[in-house]
Amino acid sequence: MSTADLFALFLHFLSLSVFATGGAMALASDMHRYVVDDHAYITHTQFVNSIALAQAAPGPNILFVTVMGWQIAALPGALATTLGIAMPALIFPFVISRLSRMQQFDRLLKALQRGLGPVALGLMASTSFLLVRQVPGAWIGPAMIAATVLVLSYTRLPPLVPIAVAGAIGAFVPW
Amino acid sequence: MPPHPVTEEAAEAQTTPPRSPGEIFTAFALISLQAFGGALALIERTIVYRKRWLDPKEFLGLYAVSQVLPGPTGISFCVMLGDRFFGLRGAIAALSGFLLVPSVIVIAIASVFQQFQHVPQVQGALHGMGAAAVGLIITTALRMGRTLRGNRAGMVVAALSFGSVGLARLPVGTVVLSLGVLSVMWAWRSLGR
Repeated sequence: MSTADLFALFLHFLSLSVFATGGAMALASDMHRYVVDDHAYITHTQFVNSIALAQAAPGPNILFVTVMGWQIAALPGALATTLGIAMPALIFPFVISRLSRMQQFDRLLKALQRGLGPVALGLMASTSFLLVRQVPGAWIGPAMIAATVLVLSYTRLPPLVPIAVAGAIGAFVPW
Repeated sequence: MPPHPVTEEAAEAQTTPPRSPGEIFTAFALISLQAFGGALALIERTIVYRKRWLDPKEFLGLYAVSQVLPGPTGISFCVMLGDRFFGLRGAIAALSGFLLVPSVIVIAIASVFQQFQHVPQVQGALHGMGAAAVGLIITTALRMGRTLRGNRAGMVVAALSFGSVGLARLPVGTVVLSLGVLSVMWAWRSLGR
């Protein structure tokens, strides 16, 4: 991968980060288009692996972006994606200190929360839809997804439990 | 750190700012290392009750701001908190604490998996973990959906957002700048009434 490609990758993640309303996972469908569909830097399976590994490892889920970058171009790739997602946040304190002097700051905050919440939900649904469509295994994959949703919705078990169990089962069933 | 009984009142009574950016770095590194999906509760426990850098009210305020700021919530929160005490140095300390150590670990795990990816069992385990990860994302979406109950305008916006990004595959930026802006304007107006 050339330096120019790396820089473009960094810029893409940088510009995406600004729109991350409701977390980095909401951006997955855009990231997928860039790194899998348009540039074929990694395969769909590698893309899903990044998400799975980041959720299984300690640390915030946003690190799936780091794993993705690592799979694309080792350390330079990981730096490009991670810094791209994290760096725009560094300017916020300045923006906020300006805004908070505004008379109706509380109203603005509430309006942003109320207005962006449903958009964020639509984005998470889009990410879910993208990943569900290409799940591996004729029935075992869908069954594991359904079981995870049920376990996480109706018990208080931490997410790591279904991920570990599905990983252990997955190692020994034919896919 | 000496163990002391921590109550909500005690935390409210007195806050002590962090002594150095280094202390912020260490605190966020420890938080993120214990975070397996969902760091919020952990952040609150550390920042409000153990370290007492913020009282519960200040914490919620800062969290609300991080949530609506452009950018992933956890990242925004690190930056806002670090900045509050040590400016840019503090922001960088919090952010790198939150990301640096766990990213080294996750990369180590990923490269081990990569090394053995031709082994069918490893591939199978990854498939299984991937399926569960998808289940986790769906659960999060369902949980978010529950907050919209009874909010018809919100449901319409969510449906449009899904339709344009999930089905029509429009760029997220386009949708946030059009639908998002309209939706915030609508909320702004209805709050004025």
